[in-house]
Amino acid sequence: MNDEPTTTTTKSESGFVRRFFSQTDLLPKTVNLLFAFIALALIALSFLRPWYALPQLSPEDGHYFTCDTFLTFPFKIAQLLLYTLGIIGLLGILLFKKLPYSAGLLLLRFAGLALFVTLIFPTFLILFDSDSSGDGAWLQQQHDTMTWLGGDIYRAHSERSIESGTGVNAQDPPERLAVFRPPTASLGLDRLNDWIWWLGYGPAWTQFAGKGWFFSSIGNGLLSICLFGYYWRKHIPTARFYLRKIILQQAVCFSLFFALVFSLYAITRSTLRDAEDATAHGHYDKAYQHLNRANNFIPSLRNDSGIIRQLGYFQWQLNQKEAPECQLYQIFWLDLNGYHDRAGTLMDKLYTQGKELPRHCARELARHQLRVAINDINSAKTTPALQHLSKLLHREPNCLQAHFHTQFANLQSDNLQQNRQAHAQVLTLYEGYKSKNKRGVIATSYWLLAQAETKAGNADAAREARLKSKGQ
Amino acid sequence: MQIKKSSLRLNRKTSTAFWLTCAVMLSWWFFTGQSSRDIKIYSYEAPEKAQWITSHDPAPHTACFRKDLELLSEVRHAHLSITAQGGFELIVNGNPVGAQTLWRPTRHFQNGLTESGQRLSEVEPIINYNFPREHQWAGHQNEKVLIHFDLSPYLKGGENSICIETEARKPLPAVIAFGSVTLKNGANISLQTDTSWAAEPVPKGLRQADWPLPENSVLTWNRAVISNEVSRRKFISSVPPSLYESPKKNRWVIADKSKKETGQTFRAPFSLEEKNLNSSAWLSLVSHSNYWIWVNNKRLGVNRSKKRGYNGGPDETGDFFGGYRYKDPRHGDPTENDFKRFENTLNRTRERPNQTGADLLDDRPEPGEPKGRLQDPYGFYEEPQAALPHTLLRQQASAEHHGYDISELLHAGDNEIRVRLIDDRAGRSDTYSGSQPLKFALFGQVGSTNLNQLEWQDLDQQPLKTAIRGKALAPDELPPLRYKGGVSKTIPKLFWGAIPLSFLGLLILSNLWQAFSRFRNPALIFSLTLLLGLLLRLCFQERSEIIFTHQKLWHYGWIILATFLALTQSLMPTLKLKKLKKKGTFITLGFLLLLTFILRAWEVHYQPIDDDEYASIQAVLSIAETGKPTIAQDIWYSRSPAYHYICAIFVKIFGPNIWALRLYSVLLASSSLFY
Repeated sequence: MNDEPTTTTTKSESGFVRRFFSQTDLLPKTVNLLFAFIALALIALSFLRPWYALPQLSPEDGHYFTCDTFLTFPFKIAQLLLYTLGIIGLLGILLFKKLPYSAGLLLLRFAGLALFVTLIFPTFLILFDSDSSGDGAWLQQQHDTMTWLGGDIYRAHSERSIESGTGVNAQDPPERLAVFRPPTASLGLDRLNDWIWWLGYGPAWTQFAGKGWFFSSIGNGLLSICLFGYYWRKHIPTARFYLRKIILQQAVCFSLFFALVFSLYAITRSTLRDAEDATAHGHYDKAYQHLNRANNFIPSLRNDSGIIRQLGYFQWQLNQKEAPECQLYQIFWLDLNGYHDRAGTLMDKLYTQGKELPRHCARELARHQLRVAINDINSAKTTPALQHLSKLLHREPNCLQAHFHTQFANLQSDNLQQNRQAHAQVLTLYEGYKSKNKRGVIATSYWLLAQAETKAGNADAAREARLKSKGQ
Repeated sequence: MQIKKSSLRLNRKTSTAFWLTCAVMLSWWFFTGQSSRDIKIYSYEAPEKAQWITSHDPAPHTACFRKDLELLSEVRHAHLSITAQGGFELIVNGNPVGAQTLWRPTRHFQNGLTESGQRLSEVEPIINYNFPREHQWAGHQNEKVLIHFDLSPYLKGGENSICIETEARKPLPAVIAFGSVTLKNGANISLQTDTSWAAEPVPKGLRQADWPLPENSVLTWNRAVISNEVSRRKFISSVPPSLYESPKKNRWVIADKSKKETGQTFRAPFSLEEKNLNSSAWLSLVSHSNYWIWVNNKRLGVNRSKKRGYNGGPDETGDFFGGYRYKDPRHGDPTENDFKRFENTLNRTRERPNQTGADLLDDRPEPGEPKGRLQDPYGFYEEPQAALPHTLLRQQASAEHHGYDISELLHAGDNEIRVRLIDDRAGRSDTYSGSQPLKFALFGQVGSTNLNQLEWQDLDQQPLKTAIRGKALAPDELPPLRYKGGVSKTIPKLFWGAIPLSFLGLLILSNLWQAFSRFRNPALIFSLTLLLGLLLRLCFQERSEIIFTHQKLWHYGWIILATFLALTQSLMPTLKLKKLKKKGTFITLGFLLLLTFILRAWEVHYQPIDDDEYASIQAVLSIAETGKPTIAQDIWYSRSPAYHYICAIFVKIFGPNIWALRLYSVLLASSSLFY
């Protein structure tokens, strides 16, 4: 009697094992299972990793870290909620078998929804997280300014004296920074390129998308495929039915989502047009209200340099001259009309506001200060350029272009220590960039270091830096 | 497992309402021309005397044409309309007036047109990428579109030269141009391309920068030859007739300088008769300041300059002056610096052996001498141009002159034009606010009615007063005219509102009336046909073939076709959708197969023979002749024998031509559809 259960268990186990190994589709099933585990592991990892990773340097000690958007947390919670509901539903179906719902379809629906939530994350980021999307666009613009065909790296090769590292025409930041082009014209298919940006999948996203987001996308996608694989093997008509159901679900979800996003852009466009109309009629108070309303619909619109200038102009007209946008507008106006000294005074005054300055204004001010510094570099006024860059980096330590030009200016002024430091910061900041063309800037940075080491007589260090600049 | 397929389908009544809504809205879209959303197109015809001209040399793809013109008096007004088979540049007295550069055919239509030209479509390019192997793409039909230029600021009394440089993707590129010059003494000289123009494939005997200058003689050049290849006399353009042709005469309207507000608004009422509305209508405005302008409360698109920061948006913060870049160089003088001056000390004679042309001696400025261009600190690099661009030497106008098409905005009876001048320095006590008051001058024509004599009222004055009129504009105060188009068509809000309303209405109707659902299939066919029309148009969005879709024939043609197909479907019982569905798979597959074959075979001979293909062709031809894949004596091309032997069968059947050689690959590519 005592041995019976043991014997039974052994028989049953051996039967299960035999049956398991005697299956003709053992290998595909095992692979399917393996991938399902990988998918689950990736989903689990996606909760631990950031979904958006902006490179940052600490203002205090200069150590590197990445900054995530505040939207990641609610999105992770939403995912967690979906999986919890899915698991509860699955348990319900398994425990109470009378529930008229298939476990497979339920799981697929939740995996599909989780994938949907992951894929709309960039759109939410670009629409509603003004600061992160603005900073991402700014970092990306700096990278582009240095690496495009008319940028620092290419022009350095054609215009710079190799021997002494002197140079003219360092590239200043473009006149305009924007997360995307404002929806002022058509929203149709002729703006297909813009739609990629408006949905959040622009260069700044691909540059700084976090591993967590990739894990979540791949994990949820893979999990759906594995579930389909399982049902395909079990009963093809069922799998086809599920496929139709899931496609319908995704179509409904994405249609609603696109309708929502389209409506948002359409309303914003209409509001911007109202602002334009009010401007034309000289009703600056109404125009100001309309523009602020547009900014409320899509908060990241306020990062647009054009919008900032426009707001400043309206504030100027409405006699709100102490508002930061208005002060920025005055700085631009004075610079544009040749009153550079007065613009400089006003810039210093605005800097004293410190952290009270809204992020989009602080960024625009930093861009302007960088432009002034680069103008000084291009006029061989190295000392004032370094002063501007130092002030700028004190406020904006993750300003990549400022580090690069600091290194360049320090090569001019033979300050090896500062050159090395700036070089290190360029390398550190570039850890957060994904695109391969960063190698051009890194190589140039090594080259600037090599020239400085050569000037200082450090032949070995110069040789090492020169080799690294060649990628050796 | 029980699967309810019906759950995936839309209710028939709902789908009837849906497709009928689509049919109604798409018809509206087509009838009102919303599908094109382009500016109005006008027809032009070349005068009899104007000829398509080319150079005498049959080989080159370029040509330089020059017409020397001696004017006995200063110029009151001059214009020239021009079109060429490829690209062209118009240079008058050494000043570049405008160009349509011959850029990649893969780029969108009118891509190389300069700001002084006029585009047919305001839609931004969608794709605009650089495709490889662009020679497969046919060039755009630039010769259909006339481009107009205002020559008034460029011509002067005395010797003048009008030069056209052209380039095409074929030998003997031809160009046609016509216009006129009105002198201050009242004389009118007609300009047209004919055999009196000097023409050479390249500027014979002169440097590239020198041949457009009137002081350099082209007496040794050949005369232009009338082209036998082109005979087109009719052209299209987005510019309303007589905008460029009419001399502009009017007086300034001057703002009140004592006012401190940012803007000052003026109004000019006028009435029109019905008969005038059928012809073209335009106005042009000259001003030194930013401005806004309305015609019958419709605002014209004044802020279209790319230089504006806000995407052409509601900006008064930017500046759309054409001469902006010369007004205040943002970076200052880059050569004004404290760099070490690098001397090539070994070059004792200061000669510059790498420099071509004249000025072999160092032309660096002495201390105190004005600097003209980027300096070469080393003193031995080649400087290709030894002279300043002539554009920089020319006096820059501080005003802008913009032209608008207003034909869609006028109506019979009372009309009104309003102008608001903007002074962004107003209210600034701390900066220089200019010595001159804001002012503008407006010219216009509606049919035979001239708008130059409008009575302007100052809207800011209470009670309303007649605006101050200044002196008449001197011809040399007029900057070159830039055409800015008309009012862009926008989709009316009513359209968007009508969609849900019509859907709801039709849904109610289909629920009330059972037989209503029989309209579903015709509506479906009708809507899908119109959608196909829109898709087809979108495919040609960036090609010159889009010109055809500007015509009413295109819009009405699609409506007629869609109606015909819908009626056919409803009247012919044999073509019922259910029956079609049974055979649908085969019909669709066959259609797709045929479409794939046509697309793959289309101009397959146009692609030049690739290096690897050349080796294959040798082997195939050898197999067809001798049965062996010989590419040289005793050397066999043994690679891919099956492919080469099958190709050889096609060559044996159809002969040794490029079509036969590529036919097998085309068939294989078409069959890939099955996968």
